[in-house]
Amino acid sequence: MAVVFKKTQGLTDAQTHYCPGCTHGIIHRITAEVLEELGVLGETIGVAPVGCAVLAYNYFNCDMHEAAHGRAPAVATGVKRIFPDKVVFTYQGDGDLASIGAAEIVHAAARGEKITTIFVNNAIYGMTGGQMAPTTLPGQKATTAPYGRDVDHCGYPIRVSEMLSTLTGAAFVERVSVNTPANVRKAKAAIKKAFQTQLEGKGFSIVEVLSTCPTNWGLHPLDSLKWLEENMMPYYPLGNFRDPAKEGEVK
Amino acid sequence: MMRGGPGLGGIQPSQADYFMSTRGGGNGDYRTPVFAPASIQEAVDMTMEAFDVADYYRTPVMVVADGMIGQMMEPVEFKAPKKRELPAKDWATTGTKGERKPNIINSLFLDPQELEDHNFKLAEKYAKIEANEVQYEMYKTEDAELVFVAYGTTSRIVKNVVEELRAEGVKAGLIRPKTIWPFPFKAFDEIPAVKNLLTVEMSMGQMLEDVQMASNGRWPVSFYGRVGGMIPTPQGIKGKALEVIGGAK
Repeated sequence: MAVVFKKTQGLTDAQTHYCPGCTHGIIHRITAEVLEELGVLGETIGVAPVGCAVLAYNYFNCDMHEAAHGRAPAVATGVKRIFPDKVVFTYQGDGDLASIGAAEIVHAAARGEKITTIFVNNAIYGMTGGQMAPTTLPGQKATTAPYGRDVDHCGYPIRVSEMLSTLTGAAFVERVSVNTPANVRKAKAAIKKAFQTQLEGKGFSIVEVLSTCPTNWGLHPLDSLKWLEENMMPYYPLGNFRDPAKEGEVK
Repeated sequence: MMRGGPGLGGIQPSQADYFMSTRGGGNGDYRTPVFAPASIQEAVDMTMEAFDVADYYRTPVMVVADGMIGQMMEPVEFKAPKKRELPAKDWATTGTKGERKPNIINSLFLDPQELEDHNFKLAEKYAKIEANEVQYEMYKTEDAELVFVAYGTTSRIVKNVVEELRAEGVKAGLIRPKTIWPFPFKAFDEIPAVKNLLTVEMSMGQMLEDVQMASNGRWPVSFYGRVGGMIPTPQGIKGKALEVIGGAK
């Protein structure tokens, strides 16, 4: 019988611990597929965050590190500078990257570290139980914002891609989503470009992936996809912010 | 480099981070080998050795010096490092090349039994470091009745005091820890004539606790310290020494 579909070699056979309907699985898969398609799996070293994806080191079928909270870009910097010819990536959530790890990601980007960050933004702290994150939307309910995020008291969510795209060292910055099959394909294309940016030594690359958290949003997985589209996308517009292929173009 | 504290403190020399470096500021049962140089030459030599110790035991290592060492200039010879057989790095994340299972570097053990086993394994490693990596200097201790304990810059000042006291007929000596973890407890079994121990530090008394443990009630332990960036003077130390041996009479 002809093989029409095979699971990517980029993932191990470990069963993931993610909640039903969570889009981490999709993001893992497309990242792993990209590494496999680029033929770099055996030359790749990944760095897992603290948060829902902390066990990503059991799922990606390549050498992996776990970093302390928010420090993945610092660990990745060390690995990449020791092994400049390897492919080094971090996989981080918004609680990890945009809060405790804000300094690390900003400076890794500013230094133009030739690493790739997969930034999974679901606008909430997942693993710890649905607390307000720096990315939680105005009015969005969280366990630590039971009446919804009050911007007068809590300020405004951080648009990480826009912020990092102001840094010259951030060569590739794109925001994608995985709420529809079409968007999953676009997300995968962006992730591939990000890794290519690294392979070409052009600087720091990041793909922000809008993701769902049905468990902590208190929504059915399908309703979560809809909520993402209706609430996250207006605040976090999809699109490319930096691409070395487009640098120098008249805008 | 230790500066005066706590908080923002000051920028003058101190040894008040002895607890922080030997007891650790992180969570969990861990130890960190700590070198304490007393000269710039030693700072260079110890830094070289620290990398090998870190490599051999696969552990972080600290070189902790008082701010005086950090601000001083002294001639230095870059010698060939002591040869140490270093283990293979089959655990390293160098890329699998598709030829081996992925290596995973982490410190997360969600199963308590697994984490306890990990702690036991680490404890074995620390015991090995304690057995093999302790370094200290014995200075005129063979017949010393008053034995100072001091490290870093303070030990250099104390050496002058030992000379001054000996010139006046006081049998003084010095134990100088070169590693403050592991602490040279066994040095205290090599001071046959001791009647008094006097710990001198640029702190309110931190290494003092290790010296008390080392003495374990065998001899009285006294303390002299200056803090906040104030450096102990030979006169100050000598005054305390005379007070201590006066009290012992």
